[in-house]
Amino acid sequence: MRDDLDLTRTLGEWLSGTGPESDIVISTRIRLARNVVEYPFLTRIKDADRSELEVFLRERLTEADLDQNLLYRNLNETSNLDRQCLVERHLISKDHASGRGERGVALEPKGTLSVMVNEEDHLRIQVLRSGFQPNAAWKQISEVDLRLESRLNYAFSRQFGYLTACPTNVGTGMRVSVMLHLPALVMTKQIEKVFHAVAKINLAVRGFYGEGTQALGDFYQISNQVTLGYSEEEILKTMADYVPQIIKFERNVRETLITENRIGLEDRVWRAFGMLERARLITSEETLDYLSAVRMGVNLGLIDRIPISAVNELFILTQPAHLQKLNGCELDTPERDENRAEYVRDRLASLN
Amino acid sequence: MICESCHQNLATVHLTEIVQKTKKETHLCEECARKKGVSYNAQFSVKDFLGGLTKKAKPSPEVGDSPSPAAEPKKPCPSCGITFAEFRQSGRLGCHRDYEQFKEDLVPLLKKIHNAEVQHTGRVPGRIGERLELEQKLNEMRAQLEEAVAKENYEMAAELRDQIKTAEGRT
Repeated sequence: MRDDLDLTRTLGEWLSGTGPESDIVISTRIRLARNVVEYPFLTRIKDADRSELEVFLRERLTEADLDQNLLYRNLNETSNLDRQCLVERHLISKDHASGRGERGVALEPKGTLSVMVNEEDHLRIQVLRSGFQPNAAWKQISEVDLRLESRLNYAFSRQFGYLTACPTNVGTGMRVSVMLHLPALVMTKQIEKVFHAVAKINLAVRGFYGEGTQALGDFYQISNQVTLGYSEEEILKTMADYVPQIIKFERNVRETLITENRIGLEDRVWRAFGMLERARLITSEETLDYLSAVRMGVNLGLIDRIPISAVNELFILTQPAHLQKLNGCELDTPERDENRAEYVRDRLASLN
Repeated sequence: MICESCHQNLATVHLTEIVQKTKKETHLCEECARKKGVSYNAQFSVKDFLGGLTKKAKPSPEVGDSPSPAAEPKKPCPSCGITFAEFRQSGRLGCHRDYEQFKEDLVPLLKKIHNAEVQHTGRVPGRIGERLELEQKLNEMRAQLEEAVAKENYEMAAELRDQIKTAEGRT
């Protein structure tokens, strides 16, 4: 397994903006929570056992030959900046980055596959794909799960399914999350209708970085709330049935905005573009807001001078940790705002 | 129902707040809810959801209620040492055996969380899947044996009995 890690050089597959419905769906993510029978859950584990478990799982992950480019990082031996980069890439959770004790992550450099070791559960397997592709993501993660299963004794009960530290994950241990870009629904204040509708069908809405986070830049994650009593296929079907309806809703509203008030929409999109092109100080939240408007503008053909992949790239590279990584040194908040404005200006100028 | 704030639009946002044990319900239209800054995301916090449910979890049965060992679920798990009270506080179990240990308290909780029957219907790990298949086959053979005995086909019954014995050795 390789162990070098420079995320600023390789962009994740999910950022390519090439997947199905990628004008609205940023990514499809599936994660499986798994534990092994030989050790207690991480909430009750002793430090020595925790270290032993990390080594045990790392070895099994290596043996399983999940991907020829798979690399493994022990997070205790990873800098805070690199850990934050992994969070910004959605490859590890915030809790895993800020956690304590022996823990790690195995990942494939394109970012489609990552396996968190010693997070809330012994293993959190994740597949992340560009656009709306729940079935392709399931096929990939299912294969990984089977390969690991032949080398591990998963904690499983016939009644409760895969046994997890938190009872909200027990059963399939599966969470399917679709990251949606819904600027038109937010702009026309119809987003609440989506929240109400999804809550009725046991789906949850979360912010940009998952559970307990804020919605930034008009991005929302829709995921299954329930993991027990339904099979993996049924959970996938619920997503496949309802997510396209939200996509259609957003598209219809975009169309209406164009036909009824094209100049108003153009003004909004170009003002955002102007801010990014000219600002001297810019926060990451502000950047996300403007990039969100620009992203919609590009997808609607209102802006044709920059490709969607460049916009997607800016979303990640302007985040605090990536920015510092690009800059080669740590920066405090005011320095970052200046550095970010400069980076965005240069990047946009180079595309013109 | 009409919005309690503007008294004009249809109320589609229904909030229930519990302040000092008093339940307060508010019905607002989308417009007014937004003005008041009602956060929808807050309604989806899994931790809060679990916290609310675990507090309402069924109390343990009185001593003498039932002689089964499951009737004393307040005992800590012999494997990891966690008590059900500790689980209620943290929302996290201590080891995979807790699911059996606290079964009686967990089943109603799981039913509420997942809003479904507490029976896994998804993927089964291969090893366990094989065992399930074997057990299913065994049940079929036992039924055939009964049938053979009923029909006084003792030769077949003897053969089936031997097959069952061999299969049982493998489970």
